[in-house]
Amino acid sequence: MNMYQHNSSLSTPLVPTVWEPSSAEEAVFLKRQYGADAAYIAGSTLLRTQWENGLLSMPEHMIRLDTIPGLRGITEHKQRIQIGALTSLRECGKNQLMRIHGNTCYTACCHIAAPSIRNQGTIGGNISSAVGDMIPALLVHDARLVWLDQANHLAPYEQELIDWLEQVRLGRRSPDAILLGIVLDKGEPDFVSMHHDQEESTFACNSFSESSSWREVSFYRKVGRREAFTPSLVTVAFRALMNREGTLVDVKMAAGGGAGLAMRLSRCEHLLEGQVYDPQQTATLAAQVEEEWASYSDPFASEAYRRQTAGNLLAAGLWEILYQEMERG
Amino acid sequence: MKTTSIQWQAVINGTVREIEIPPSRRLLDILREDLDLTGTKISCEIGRCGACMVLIDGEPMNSCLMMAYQCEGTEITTIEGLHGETEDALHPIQEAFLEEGGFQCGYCTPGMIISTKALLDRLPQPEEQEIKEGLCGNLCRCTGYGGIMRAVESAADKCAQRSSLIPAVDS
Repeated sequence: MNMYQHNSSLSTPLVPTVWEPSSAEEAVFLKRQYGADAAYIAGSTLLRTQWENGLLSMPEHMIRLDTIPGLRGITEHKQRIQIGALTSLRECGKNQLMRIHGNTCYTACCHIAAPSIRNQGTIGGNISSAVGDMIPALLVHDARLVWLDQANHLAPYEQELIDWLEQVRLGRRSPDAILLGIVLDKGEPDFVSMHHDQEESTFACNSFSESSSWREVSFYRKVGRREAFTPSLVTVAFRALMNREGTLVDVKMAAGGGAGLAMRLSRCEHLLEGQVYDPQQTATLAAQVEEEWASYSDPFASEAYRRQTAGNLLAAGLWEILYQEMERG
Repeated sequence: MKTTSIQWQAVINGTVREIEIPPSRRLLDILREDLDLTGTKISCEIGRCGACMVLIDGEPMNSCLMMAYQCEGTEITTIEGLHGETEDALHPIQEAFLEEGGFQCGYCTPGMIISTKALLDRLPQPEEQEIKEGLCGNLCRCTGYGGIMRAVESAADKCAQRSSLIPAVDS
């Protein structure tokens, strides 16, 4: 392990010590040793904004994660894909495995921040912030997180993203755990086999295969304070299976954005589950989202505005899916 | 191992530069304060405005977000590294910004030009939406976006007419 330190004095601002652990275990050891005075550092794009804005103090000890081997890249396994936590958002947004097996995540990666930020920012950092715009997309894919933590005797373990968010909500997040990767299950081959042919879009819709009458439909939407790159106000994601009759099953919906924690919208999912969606239901769905999603107010947008926006985004997105079906005949 | 600083090295605008600095020092500060490359502008300091944009190994990056250790050993191009066929000639992108009035106060212009360079290297003839996406990390406080859009389109034409982009830096 290498460590670089630059001594501070009373007349100069703190210059952090930078640690270079050679393994995740070593990084956890350092974090436990220095506690709140230390922070894991990946792309650091969000951390830098928090340091500069005074929301967080710059840590006395920076623990680099990029010196740990095996945390980058997307690998395919028999029934799942695994995304290394230090994989850049740009890389995620270019990866075909991600596009096929995690389409809303793929779309989110193409729409988070600006190209320069996506070159530096990592998917692990986006998740670890607990407020990243990737999270609603990952929620509708039932993503699991792979952690390493002293509490689990330094053995990697998987945790449902939704469960980890609940820990965060309750203030029970482990401060020392390192996020090693993200796991997405592969869908049924019939649902994904024709995904390569679809155009890149914020809206994705697989074709029916000959052997299956069901296919995956999904979309991801984001609204910010202005058109160009800006922190989001609202992000939503939708994923379901739809048959030729327009029946929706396995419906998953999530909303998040801004500094609020994302959540699955289970009552909205229940509203649509097993139903043939009728465009007349659009207003009902929007109202249900508005009622279910717990958001917040800040100087930029009221909670009521965020709720209404989330409802409109989800209802409009679903309507577009059906409209496309009508167009196809 | 414990040291008080690192011997940081990078190729900046074609020249190898080596300085002793803290590993957490921002690239923006290295460029402006240590190397006197003040064409890279300091503004929001949180990666939103793009005034500090540089190319690192050919990719646009916000130098205000980048720490020294994160870009050690890379090739960095700043606005000072762009030029035309000769070192004192303007790069076609710079020409286009001048001719099309792609700036007002000019403070955002170095970042805009660097982002345009990255965009045109990747997409020599970008569509309007691709230009907007390529420059969405750059803000013009004067809101002179009409001229900037024209400048990027003109720059693409200029570069195409010259058959290939002029190298950003001497090798």
